[in-house]
Amino acid sequence: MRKLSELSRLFLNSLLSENMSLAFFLGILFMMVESGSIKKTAVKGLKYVSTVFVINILGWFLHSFLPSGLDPLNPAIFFITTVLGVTVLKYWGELKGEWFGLPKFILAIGPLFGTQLLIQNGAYVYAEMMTVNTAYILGGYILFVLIAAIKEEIIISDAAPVFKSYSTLLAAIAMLALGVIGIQII
Amino acid sequence: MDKNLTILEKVMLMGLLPLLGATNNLKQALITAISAVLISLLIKFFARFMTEREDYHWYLLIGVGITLSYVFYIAVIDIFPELEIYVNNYLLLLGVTPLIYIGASRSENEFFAYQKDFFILMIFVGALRELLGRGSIFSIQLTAAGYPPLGFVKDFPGAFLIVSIIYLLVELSRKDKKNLREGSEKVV
Repeated sequence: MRKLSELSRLFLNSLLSENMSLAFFLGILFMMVESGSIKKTAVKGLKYVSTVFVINILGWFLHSFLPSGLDPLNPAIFFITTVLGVTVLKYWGELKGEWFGLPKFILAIGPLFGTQLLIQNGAYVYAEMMTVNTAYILGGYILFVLIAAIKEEIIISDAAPVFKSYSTLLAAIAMLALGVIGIQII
Repeated sequence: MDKNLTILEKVMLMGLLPLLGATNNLKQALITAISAVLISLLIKFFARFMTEREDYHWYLLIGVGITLSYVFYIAVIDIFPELEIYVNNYLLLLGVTPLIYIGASRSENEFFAYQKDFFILMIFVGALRELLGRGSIFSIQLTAAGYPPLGFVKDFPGAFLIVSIIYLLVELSRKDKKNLREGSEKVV
């Protein structure tokens, strides 16, 4: 019973106040740039979070099986799994083309690599890792769709053109983050 | 929203991860900014050997970037152990920040302008967050201890808010207001 309560708390924390995107900023850029209409973002988000979910599990298994003396190799393992994740996303027709002269898939490298690093730093056992991972992707998905909704509202609003920029989107995320930090689970 | 952006706006987008995560205080921002500029220079050097820009070339370059950021992460802690408390994972995550690969970009040529703007932005955001969130600069307490002007600024909502305000100021200070209007209307 006690264990369940700890996992529930871990889940709620990872979903809200310690979410990978909101609290650790991983994938925020991806979400801001890649979000389009809500319908398209909902589908794209499913592809994105399912890839992050699987890659996190893969990364955790690989680094768990590695002897502790070889811990410095973890970034290399996470990089390989990240490349695998990007390949899957590209296979699904996402992240094609360029973004300011760089390949668009560079936007997904951060969240894919960073979340594995975050989970490794947590030194979680399997049940905890699955809980945290599920909460991360659930929170990330909700945030992605919310960002798309806010972006759509900003674009169609009657506001002055200067406010139809990423500054308003970032301010909206800040308000959301303030709301989340206000209901921190102790 | 990606259309008609100035270099400063692109820098804020491409360097968003360290700008939000590694600006909790001025020392942290300074360490990350210096590391980012040095890694970017090394990446630019390695990119000279990339004759083509196929996906696997980029993967190799990103692998180099992550290795360099890992080396910097270890080196900073080893050489300056007293700075360890100011080093966080965002130094390691420099390797996955798009901005450090700008030297390998085919369309963005003003490499040094990007680095200069990023460096200034990091210092500015770091100083502002430390001053408002902790009431100190370089760990020198300026306000009564425990009574910062805006305590939440040192946390993640404050990072979003400060960066959004700076982004808005950048938008407002643009000289090409006409282009800005046209660019924004294109989005609509």
